[in-house]
Amino acid sequence: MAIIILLLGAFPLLPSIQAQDRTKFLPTDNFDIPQLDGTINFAVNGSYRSAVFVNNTWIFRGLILNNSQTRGNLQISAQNSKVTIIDYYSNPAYGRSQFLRYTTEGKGIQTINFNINGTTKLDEWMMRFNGIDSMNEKDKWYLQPDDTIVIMGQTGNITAIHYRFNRPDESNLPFHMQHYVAITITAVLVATILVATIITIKTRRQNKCL
Amino acid sequence: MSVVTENSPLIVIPIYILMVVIGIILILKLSKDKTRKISSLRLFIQTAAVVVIFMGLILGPFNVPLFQPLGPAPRDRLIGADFFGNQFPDGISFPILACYYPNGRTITCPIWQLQAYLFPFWEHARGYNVYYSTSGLEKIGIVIAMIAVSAIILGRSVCGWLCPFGLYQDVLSRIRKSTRLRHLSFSDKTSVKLGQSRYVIIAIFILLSVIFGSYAIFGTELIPGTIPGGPYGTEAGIIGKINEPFCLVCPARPLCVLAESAVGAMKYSYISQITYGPFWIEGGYISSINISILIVVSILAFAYRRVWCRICPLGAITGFFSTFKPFNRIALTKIEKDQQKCTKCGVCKRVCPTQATAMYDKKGGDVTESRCMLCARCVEICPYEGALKMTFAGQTLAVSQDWLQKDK
Repeated sequence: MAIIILLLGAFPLLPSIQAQDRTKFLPTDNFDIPQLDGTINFAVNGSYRSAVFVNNTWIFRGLILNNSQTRGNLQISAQNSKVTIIDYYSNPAYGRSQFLRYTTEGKGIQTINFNINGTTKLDEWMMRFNGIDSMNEKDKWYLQPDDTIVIMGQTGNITAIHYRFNRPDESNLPFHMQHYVAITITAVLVATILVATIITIKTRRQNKCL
Repeated sequence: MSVVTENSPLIVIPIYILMVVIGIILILKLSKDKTRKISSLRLFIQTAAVVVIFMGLILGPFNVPLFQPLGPAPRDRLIGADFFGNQFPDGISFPILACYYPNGRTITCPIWQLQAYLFPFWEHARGYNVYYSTSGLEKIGIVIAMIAVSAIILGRSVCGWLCPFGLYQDVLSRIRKSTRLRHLSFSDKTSVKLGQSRYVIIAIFILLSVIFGSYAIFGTELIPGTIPGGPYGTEAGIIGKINEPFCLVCPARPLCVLAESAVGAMKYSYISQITYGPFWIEGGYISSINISILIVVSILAFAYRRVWCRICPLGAITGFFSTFKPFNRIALTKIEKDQQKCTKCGVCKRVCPTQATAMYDKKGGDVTESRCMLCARCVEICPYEGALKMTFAGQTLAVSQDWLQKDK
């Protein structure tokens, strides 16, 4: 028992399972994209496990903003614009959604990718430009086959929202599974009518006997 | 993002059921006034139902925590609750005026559902941040089936015993009574006309939703600007204003928001937003039109008992499935009359909050009519032993008693 307690006590000290080193950043730290004349920074303090710059895109792994929980991986690029990321979070209850809020200066192009498992669909995405919702407006934003969102010519406050991530695809299910609610409620209705009819008949018979 | 602690339904619900059962037993045992016993019981059950609806004692994984004034509005967390999964994410359609918005998606107002599924959610995959895998027609079928099940089993007793807006009107009537002011009554003719108008009202609003949704339903845009632009139905402009037209005038909506805000389950800002801006502006979920109609209905309900229930389109749908042929033959909850014991004194007619007359006019047997909300006030007040009774599935729930004789 003592050995187990000692092992448990020493558990966090073991180097192999210690948390990976994290790099902290401040709002003053810029992540430049020189070839595209773009800059990315954060509005709050935070840290990441790694930040890789590939193909003019910054990939932040294990991103944590404002000492909160990890916000996952974010892939972002900016062209002819300065992007300040305000928040990036997932909310499993709110429509199983994932949000990225940022402000941008300069009517450039931003590309973002939430690195969600599986392919997303266009109708799962919504943008909010300065408080106005935008859905499927191709002149303002579009979805690429690799799940990257491209936002064009927008300035000010921008929110990119992906709803229902990991939504189960029901199109391959058999008919009865695709419509089980309708089938169930129809069965309940039929059963109710049957039971009510039987009760009514029984009650009438009893009343006649009386 | 703050952490929200949810009450476990496994603990909260049994405790609550136990409390309600004890309350019912106490009322039945301790209430000595036979002419008020059922009314007291009804008031208790109405109050208990309000607690269930507005304080979050609801089933499902997204149950609202009780009394949480500082946390995020649970309504925000309730969006997309998966009670029935993607096929029907709005929860059980239960025919009481408890607004969809505050109470989340475990119980939902069927009027909202019927309108919304016509426009703007006729096509599958459209919804307010919610994904529907089912078509509008299928969803409407589910709603109607759910109402029919409830109406066959409970009839309009849901209006009399469970509806929060009914309780609100009853409270206003009780306040009037306490001032010793006598209630006003409509003439029999007006009362009948009001009862009929319910069906016109529901038809108008459903027709409006069909017209607004004409592009999705028929492929023809009857009203310019009503082509939904995206999957989530949150469009700005005219579409954002005319979604679910009845909800813009429904007097229950502001009350529901107020009730939710009072227990911290919703943000007061949803109400306060309408205190500025033009008359028609929408603030969160309620509009100035809602508030105005609520004020008018409140004033009228102070004078006339259950005034809204006489024109309530939800009551009309429930009444249709419980008192119209062929449903009336199998409806399980009824008021029955023994013609031989009735002396035609008319007290039942006078005390009826909705001025139903069938229990007086009809010769005997089932006297439930579409205006009757099965409150059993007539049964309670009838002084002739066994002349009137309320039954469920052939079993007597309440029967009139000779309280005049016994009191002597």
